[in-house]
Amino acid sequence: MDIDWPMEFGRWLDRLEAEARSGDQRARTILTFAARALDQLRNLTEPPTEESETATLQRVRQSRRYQLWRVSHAYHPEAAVRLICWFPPKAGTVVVALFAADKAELGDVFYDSVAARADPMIDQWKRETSYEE
Amino acid sequence: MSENTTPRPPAFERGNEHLDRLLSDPQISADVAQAHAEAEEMDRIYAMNLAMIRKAAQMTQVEVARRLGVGQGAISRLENRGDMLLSTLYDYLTATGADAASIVVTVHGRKIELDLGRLHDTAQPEQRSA
Repeated sequence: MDIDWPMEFGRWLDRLEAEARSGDQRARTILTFAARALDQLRNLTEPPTEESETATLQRVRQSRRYQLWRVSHAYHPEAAVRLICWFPPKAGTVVVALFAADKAELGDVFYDSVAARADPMIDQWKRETSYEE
Repeated sequence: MSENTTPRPPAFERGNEHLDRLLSDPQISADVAQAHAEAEEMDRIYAMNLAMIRKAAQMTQVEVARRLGVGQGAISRLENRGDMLLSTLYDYLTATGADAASIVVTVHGRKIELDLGRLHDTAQPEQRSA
């Protein structure tokens, strides 16, 4: 799949990469899980469905206007990176990665605010791509 | 001033090349490969649930739900539940077409098989809620 993401997301990855290269172990861990999540999305051949949920790719129950998905990783004692994304219906092979965060720092509150943050971003992506459902 | 005079800067970009560049770094690539292996193991364990039986029966959640007289969402939750009544398990299994459902345990090297059907038949009605 092709992956679209906000430019700020790309800058966040750049910052993580720079911090990891300077020896920041935590940045290296977060970067690893974020890159892994993106690689998992890119390797999908089709959008997931409710029935194809896996441990690492699941629907976000707190979704509102758009069905959001989250990518996770195997347990790590110091990090729980969650990547939030959206699959534009009928768009074929595009996934929109919206943002990622360390849930270990935020706890379950993270999901409470996901839709409020993601929905306007998806609106923006739709405007930019002239996407119509 | 009209909000439309200044176009909103593009907020999105295609990330494929950025990701390719990240993964071309040997250290990052090795870290990601290790994380992939651990994630795949997690997915494998996750998949070892009731859905395996339904998929083996080549049935959808909707079809199983129809047989049990419940909604598809109930089946989705059931398949991901960590605990349930034996009678609920039995109902699910038979709805997928499974027969001779049993639990097999080994005690001191001796295999003991519990017939779920018999347990189900002897369960009190109030114990058999889904």
